[in-house]
Amino acid sequence: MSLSLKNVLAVALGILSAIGGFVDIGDLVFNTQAGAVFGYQLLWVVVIGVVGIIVYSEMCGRVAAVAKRPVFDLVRERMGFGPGLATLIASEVVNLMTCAAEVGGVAICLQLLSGLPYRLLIVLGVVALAVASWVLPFEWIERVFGYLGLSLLVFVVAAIKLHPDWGRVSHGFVPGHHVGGSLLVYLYFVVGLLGAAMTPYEVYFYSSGAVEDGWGLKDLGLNKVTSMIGYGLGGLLSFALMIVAGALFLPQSIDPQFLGTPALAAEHAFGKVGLLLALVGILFAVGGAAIETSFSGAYNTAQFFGWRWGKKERPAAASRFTLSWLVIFALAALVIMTGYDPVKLTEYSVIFSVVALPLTYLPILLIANDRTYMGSKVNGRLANVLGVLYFVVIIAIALAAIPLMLITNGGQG
Amino acid sequence: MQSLAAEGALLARDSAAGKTTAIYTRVRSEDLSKAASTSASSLQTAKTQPGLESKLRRVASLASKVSADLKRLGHASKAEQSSLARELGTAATELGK
Repeated sequence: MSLSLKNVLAVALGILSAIGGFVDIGDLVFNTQAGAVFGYQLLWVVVIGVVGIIVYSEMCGRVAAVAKRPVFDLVRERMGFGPGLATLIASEVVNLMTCAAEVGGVAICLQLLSGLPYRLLIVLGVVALAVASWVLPFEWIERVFGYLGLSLLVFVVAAIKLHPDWGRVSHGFVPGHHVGGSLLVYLYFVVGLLGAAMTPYEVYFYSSGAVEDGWGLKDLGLNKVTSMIGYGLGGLLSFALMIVAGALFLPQSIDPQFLGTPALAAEHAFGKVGLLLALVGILFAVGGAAIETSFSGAYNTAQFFGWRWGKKERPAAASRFTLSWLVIFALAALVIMTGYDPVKLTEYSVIFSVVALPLTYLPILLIANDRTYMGSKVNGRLANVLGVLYFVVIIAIALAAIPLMLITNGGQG
Repeated sequence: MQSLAAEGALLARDSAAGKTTAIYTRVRSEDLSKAASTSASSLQTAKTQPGLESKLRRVASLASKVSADLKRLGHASKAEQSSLARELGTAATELGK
């Protein structure tokens, strides 16, 4: 096989795993609920969220490739101990909530597949995730969970099979006057969809993963392609979830309050095969996200305190890093064992992550513009215009998130 | 409650048509039944204005029936599932009024 063909294959594999790894429990919950309440009217928000995560992931990957250091490492150095610690605490709280919700999601999927008791499956699920994280090399974690998460593409085919009104779908990509539901609930879903698409752990994991994969200047092209096409096509899954909810759940007044509900759409379209593909896709999507959140938490802590870190290190050599992600898994399992509803927890974790977004994205924007770290590879004009524009949006939604959640009773009106 | 009944009706219809697995139907109907039972209990002890009491009683009674139907759904035969689909569909329409 020629070198160029190998490169193409590597890019293709990276893109595939990014598509499969794009959707997590936050996307599943917010996209289907938004579709069930507002039909296709909020598709434009997904576009904005996907472009946002592309812009900032590309910056993170570039910083990692040029400075050879992950973002959180530079956050403390660039911003100092106090703001760095505030960012660390905020990101750890959100990471733990998200990881707990994802672990709950894994247990629910396993229960829908096996019928075994939920609490037993929380324990089995978290042990399986910890073993996979311990045993599998970094790139195989990405690939196994990313590729099996591609089963979620069944929702894309289901979206076509359910014959939505394509005229209305196309109108949904243009922001405008909404029909049905209250304005505040509409705004709550705008905030939630943006938060679900731009979750902080994704950029931290992407950045640390780039360092783990040993990215250098030659990988800047790979960074652009993976972030743009991978996240872009991953956004397709979000569109599909919203479209199936708008086509199937909205007309029947079904409010998807359970993680098992979206699978009903794939089952309705394709029977048992559709149901199994949907459940396997959700299982690996939320399982992969559980690993990403636990690792993201461990990366951030280790990088902030200057510990040795990395999946490529032997666990004993990076013992505090290894212990950190194991503790996050254990705490996540404990939180969800209390019986707290993973869907409710997801809603809170997404809304709180929105509040923490400025603390995540401002340092990235500053570092990507700092010639001390980036040399000639600082942000270009387009990256800066988009970066600043998105930062303004992030500030606005961070301020609105909690008031909207309280006023609308978590989108219930 | 309307949403729970509507989701139960869809699940029952698809289950009767052989589109779902037995495990999925059982687990989902249990989840829906638990949620419906909680809402039904709240409605039975709820207080309202004198003019709305009969409506509240009707809704509470429908909610109890939806909860019971959802509980039966998980272990029902195909014929029973078809009948439950109709009953839950009717209840969802009634609750939407």
